[in-house]
Amino acid sequence: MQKYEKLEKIGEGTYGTVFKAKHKETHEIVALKRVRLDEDDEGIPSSALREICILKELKHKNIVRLHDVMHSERRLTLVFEYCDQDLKKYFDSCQGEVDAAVVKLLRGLAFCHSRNVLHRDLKPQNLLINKDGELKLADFGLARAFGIPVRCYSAEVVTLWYRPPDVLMGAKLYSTSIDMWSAGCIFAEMANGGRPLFPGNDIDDQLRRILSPPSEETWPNAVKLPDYKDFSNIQGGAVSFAVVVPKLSAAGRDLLQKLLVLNPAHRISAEDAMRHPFFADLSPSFRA
Amino acid sequence: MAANFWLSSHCNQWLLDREEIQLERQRDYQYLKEEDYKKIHIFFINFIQALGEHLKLRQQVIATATLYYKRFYSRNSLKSIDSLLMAPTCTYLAHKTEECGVISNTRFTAGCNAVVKNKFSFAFPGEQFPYRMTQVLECEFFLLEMMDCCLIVYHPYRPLTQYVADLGMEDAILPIAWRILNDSLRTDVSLIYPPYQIALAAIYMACVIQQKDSKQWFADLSVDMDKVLEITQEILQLYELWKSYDERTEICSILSRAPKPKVRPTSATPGQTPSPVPPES
Ligand SMILES: Nc1ncnc2c1ncn2[C@@H]1O[C@H](COP(=O)(O)OP(=O)(O)OP(=O)(O)O)[C@@H](O)[C@H]1O
Ligand SMILES: [Mg+2]
Repeated sequence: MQKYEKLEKIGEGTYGTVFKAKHKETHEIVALKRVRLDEDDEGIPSSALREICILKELKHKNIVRLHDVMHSERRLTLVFEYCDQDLKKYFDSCQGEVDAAVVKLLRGLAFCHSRNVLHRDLKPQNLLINKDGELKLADFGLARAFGIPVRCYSAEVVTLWYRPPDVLMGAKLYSTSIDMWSAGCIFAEMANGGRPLFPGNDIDDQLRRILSPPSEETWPNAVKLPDYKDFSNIQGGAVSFAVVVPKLSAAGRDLLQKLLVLNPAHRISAEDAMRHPFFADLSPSFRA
Repeated sequence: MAANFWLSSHCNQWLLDREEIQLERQRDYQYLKEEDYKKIHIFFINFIQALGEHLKLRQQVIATATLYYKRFYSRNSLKSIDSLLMAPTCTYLAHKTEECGVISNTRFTAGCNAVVKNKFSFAFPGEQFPYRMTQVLECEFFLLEMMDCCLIVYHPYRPLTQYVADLGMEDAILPIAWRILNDSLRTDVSLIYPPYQIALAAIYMACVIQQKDSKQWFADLSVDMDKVLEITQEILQLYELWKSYDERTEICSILSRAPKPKVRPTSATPGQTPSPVPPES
């Protein structure tokens, strides 16, 4: 702990407090995530363990780097590279540049997915921007490696607003498509200057906001989900993306539509999304 | 999956040289013959297996615990932390990283006690499990740190089932090869070779046992047969050792000769000791 001088508190998470800190000798600025260890508890909490072991395997410019793990009595400290702000705060300060931010998000995701890791908790607060404007996926506390088939994932994944309809209806076995839905929600939120796309109050309200009238052909397996909700009486018609994201170009709306496909099997992958015409104006290095 | 392995910390940080491993062990060879040193680790891996089965953990989790254990002692002397603490700690950490449902502290320590008393009383006559959960949790961190936080590990079981399916001799080969893999946990192969090679060695051995001809299949795979044979050799050495060794009657005296951490709680005062000595860094 003595290696770093704490500067200020920058965030409060469910399992710890995040501080900005400076290395006493190198003066490197880092973020310290401090996790309390309760006396008669499970030791290192599983969320911290997940984050540690997954970040150890994922080294990429769009994924926050874990430098070190320190341990002292009753406390575990994860040392991360420092980022100036999270996307939530970034929304307020910037406009435009949506395509560049989204492609970085997709690039980070494509990398995770290629390594068989699902993030499972994508939301603006968990996306960090460093001083060079690079976007980084953070908070892998719910992430998991999906290489080894597991029968049952933990039920509570993804903050409500970014949760895909299949998970809302109790899908147990999901795949990379879970992250793609969240990416779509974040994309729309960016395009709208930080206004959340589907800010539901509870699961039913969330579903009501998301669902367009049912379609047997497009999502035939929906009825088999454990918490299937009959949404045939939902009014409103198909979401019109021109209304939802008025500032977005036609190409942008097309990409959004492909991310927000109800049927998880038909949702676009991160790899394919990166190649969407919406990003045609970006220099090729962005998409590498 | 295979592609992932090549990019993993397991592949890039934790495939060790045989010489490197032997060099680290020189410290312990001052006290123990190499053969006895092996027997000690075999014993504690049996302990992990028994504890894992008692706690109803999947074989995959037990294999992970075993590999953590092997990694720890590949870099540390038996003197640094008592194996009787390290073995359950590895099991505890593995059950968390493999996410197989939380085991309560009470159930876990009860499990350790039961295993010491019911399964291994020949090694610890009249004793109970001498450690408390706080010590396991403290040890957990040393383990994590010593492994440089590399907790995701790969095992030969998956490649085994895939290869056997390809070979098309499931019934004849799979059960035997699977058992060979379980046995191989008691050797150093998982520290040295990639899991797919270990899987192939197990298939190779199973084919010999079952008198199945797999020459052409191996030839078509174009794998490094020298490596496969090295692994086979190492597993055969284990079987050789087992032939002339009775753990029940011999382990006590071997354990008494092993180098030990400065402090080791006795059953009279469980937990009433200072922390385990951290590994020398
Ligand atoms: N490396 C970092 N640099 C700058 N800020 C950070 C960094 N890591 C985290 N933060 C800030 O701290 C907040 C909480 O961090 P994080 O999401 O990792 O914690 P958490 O405990 O998992 O939170 P929750 O589960 O509530 O999402 C983030 O939303 C972000 O604002
Ligand atoms: Mg968070």
